[in-house]
Amino acid sequence: LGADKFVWKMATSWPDGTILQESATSFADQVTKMSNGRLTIKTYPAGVLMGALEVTDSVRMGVIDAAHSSPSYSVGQLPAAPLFGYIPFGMEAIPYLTWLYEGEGSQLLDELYAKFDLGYVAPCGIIPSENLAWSNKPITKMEDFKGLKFRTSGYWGEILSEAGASVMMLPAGEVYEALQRKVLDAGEFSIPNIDKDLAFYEIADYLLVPGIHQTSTILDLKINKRSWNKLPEDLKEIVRVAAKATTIELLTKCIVRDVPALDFFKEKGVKIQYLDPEIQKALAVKAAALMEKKSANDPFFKKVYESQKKFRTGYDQYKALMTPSFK
Amino acid sequence: MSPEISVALMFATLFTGIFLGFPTAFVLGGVAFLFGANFMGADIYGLFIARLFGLMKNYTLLAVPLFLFMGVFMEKSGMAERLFNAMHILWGRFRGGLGISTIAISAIFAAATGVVGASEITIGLMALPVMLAKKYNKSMACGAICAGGTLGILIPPSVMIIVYGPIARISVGKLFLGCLVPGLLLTLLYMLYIGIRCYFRPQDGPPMPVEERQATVKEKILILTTSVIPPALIIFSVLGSIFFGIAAVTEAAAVGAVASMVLAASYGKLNVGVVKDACRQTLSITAMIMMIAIGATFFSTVFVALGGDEVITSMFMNLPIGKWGILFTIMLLLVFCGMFIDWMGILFIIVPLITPIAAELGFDPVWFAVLVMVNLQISFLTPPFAYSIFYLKGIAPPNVETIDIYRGVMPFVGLQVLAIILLIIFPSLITWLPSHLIY
Amino acid sequence: MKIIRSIVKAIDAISETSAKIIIWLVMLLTVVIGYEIFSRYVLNQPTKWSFDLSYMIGGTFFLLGEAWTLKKKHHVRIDILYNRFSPKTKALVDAVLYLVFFFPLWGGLFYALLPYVAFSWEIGERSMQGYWQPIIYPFKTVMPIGVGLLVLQGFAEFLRNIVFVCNGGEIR
Ligand code: NA
Ligand code: NA
Repeated sequence: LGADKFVWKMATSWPDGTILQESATSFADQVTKMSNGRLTIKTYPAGVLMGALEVTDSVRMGVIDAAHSSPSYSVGQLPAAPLFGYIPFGMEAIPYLTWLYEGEGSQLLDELYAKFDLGYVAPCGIIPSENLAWSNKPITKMEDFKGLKFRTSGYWGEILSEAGASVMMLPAGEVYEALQRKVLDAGEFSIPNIDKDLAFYEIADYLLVPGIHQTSTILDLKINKRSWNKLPEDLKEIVRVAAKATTIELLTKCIVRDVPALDFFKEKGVKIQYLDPEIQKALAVKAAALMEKKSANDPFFKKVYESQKKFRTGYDQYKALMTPSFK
Repeated sequence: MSPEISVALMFATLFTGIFLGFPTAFVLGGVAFLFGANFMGADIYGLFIARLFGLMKNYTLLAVPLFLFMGVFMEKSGMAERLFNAMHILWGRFRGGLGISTIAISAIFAAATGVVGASEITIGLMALPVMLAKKYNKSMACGAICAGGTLGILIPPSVMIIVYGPIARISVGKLFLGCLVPGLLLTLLYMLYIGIRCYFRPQDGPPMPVEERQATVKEKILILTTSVIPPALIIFSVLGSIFFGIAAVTEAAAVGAVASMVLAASYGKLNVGVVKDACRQTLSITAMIMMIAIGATFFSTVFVALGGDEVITSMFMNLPIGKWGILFTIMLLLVFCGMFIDWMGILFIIVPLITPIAAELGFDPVWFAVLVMVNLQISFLTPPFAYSIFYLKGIAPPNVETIDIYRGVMPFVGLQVLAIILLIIFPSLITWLPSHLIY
Repeated sequence: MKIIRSIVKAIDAISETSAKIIIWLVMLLTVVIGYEIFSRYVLNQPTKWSFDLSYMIGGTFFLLGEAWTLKKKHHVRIDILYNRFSPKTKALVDAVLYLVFFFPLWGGLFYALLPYVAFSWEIGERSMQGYWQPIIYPFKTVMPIGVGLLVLQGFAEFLRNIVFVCNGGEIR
């Protein structure tokens, strides 16, 4: 290797063949092309070099140069991390990205990972609203959650438990069968086009939307300090620009595949239900209470949550004024 | 070092270490470290830590100790002896009847447990002395026990299927159904082989004298009910809780463990000493299997980091022999690896390499996976590294030489190859059930 | 020689004693999962904790058992060539291969695990597998303990072989 040539290893949290791994590879390809091969990034899907949840620790320790993951996966180490990945009733893509790129979010993201002593961290992909649930039972009123055997994790699990559901944890690989064999009544996994690949439509009667538990999800790029500091300024800029380009590319690619995926489910006889707005409101109240509880436990969580609340107030007013309504 | 040279050197070092007789698990890990450190220095430890922790928190792998625990209790319950007596009565008057009974019991045990060891040892302890006393051909008797034992890991439930599913990203339920018919096919082939061989060569498996299998109809019914119903209940508790949606697969293994404990208790064979002994056996086999999983995972991680996966893939894809030629080569490679590495090692090292190749060639993923698993049965029987032979050697009377066992398993290896050929010619033997049975 | 003998015996005793406790974890695992199924179907209330607790018990079970399994020589080896060696050659080959294959990996791993686990304690890391999200640093601490015990037992095996090669007889 010449003095000015770099080869990086980047591990991701995504299984091979998913749209998320596709976006990681696309990011790497862009960097290689833009740098004319001076910086090449070899990507490793989840499970090849390490498990999905191991990538952040590994980039911190310098085992790999870069990690493509979601801040949410760091919740165990950093309680405030979900605020940068997704929270129930969080922001939609445009305001979320605005807060992260141009608002206080950018500064706070650095602060979040301060203990990890990383070289660079930035959003590198966002996915739109997820499917709320694949279900064997219809959910049309709040009582329907009572005793519902539901597979999910994180904050949403806590909120659904509050609502009376029997929340169960199962590894992703077991969800399909557990639903099929009715060990589970319902479960959530991801966005329509990913769920389509996993064939949940074959086994569940109902698809519940919208993804109030995961309105949009940020993926991020983390780079080890030693690796980052070795790069000359022009290559650093290429990484920054490619990460930003990947963000928007993933969003639009998801939408263009999610639209036909929903049609496809209908064709397959899945009953798509839009969750009653009253239920959404009731759950939002529970979610807000949970967020306040988390804020009380962790000063940094509170700082970020307050920043988002402030930003959302301003944005909501703007949106109310500037969104046309002529349908 | 180019990836091609790394790959060659890695395997060369691996086989050298294994042949020098160092424990396989530690050779796998040691080779991974030597090559990994050469490639990325002390950072390799970080990668190994991530891998080790991944294995420790793997929920699916909990099925390994649980199925072992269950198997040990089944062994201690004395259920096998009762079954064997019952099978005697059913098959004893035929030539080769004891051999056929051995296979039948093996298949029944296989449908209740998920591993090879415990059931093979149980059946071997009981069936081998009887067959030897009845002047059965020594080799054939050993082969039948070894081959019957391997059914444990093919007929569902099976730890091999449970581990395979996530590696290849195929639903474990589909693989369970996919392995069912091949498992029964092998059972049938083994029985036919013994039956036909002994029909033409009665000296290899003489029928039992009439006086030894006399029983009144009433006695027969009693023996059959007390011996066949309990295992049937265990099979039902495990497979039933999986297929009727009471429990996920790992959980079903725990159900089975409880059920076999209950069975042992109902036969009056349960006490603190037995439980403690079962726990000890479970720990030693689990730790042994998991150390191989750890070593193999480290090995495959370094192998991929060095670009070995690309070397293998391009090597296969560039073979000018068409898709069936490549399939044949893969099957041969598996048999070769199976001689030296245990199934867990092969699953972690080879399956991630060949699964994308099979997809590229357009093979049905479930069909291919089941074919690989039937092939991995062979690894239990092929020396020098052959679990089934190790187990039998551990319990066989001294007049049974290792060479008798080697000679005995070979016809059964041939039957396994025959089964693979049949499954390739008639793929629906594998695919029909998973695609049609809606449970 | 006498000191080496007592070191080896002390290490053996550590592995044996640890196994006496560890073996019961599989029973505990069965009970935990059994209770989860009971709770889900009979009480109609799945537990929050059984998922996380299960893999923690299972992971602890096998890793802490590795040292004892090594002591019991239950890690399988291919013996076609090995069995033709004289007992002394066996011991010598084993000792050398411990230096080549065993200590660099497991000794170094033990050393690398210390800061890894310390970081987990420092930030009060929690599990992110399920939604119970219990603290996970105690479970991560099982890694240096298990690997440490294994390295220790490996050291004992190494000494055993060396003593045998040097005509010191077998240490049982
Ligand atoms: Na089985
Ligand atoms: Na073999």
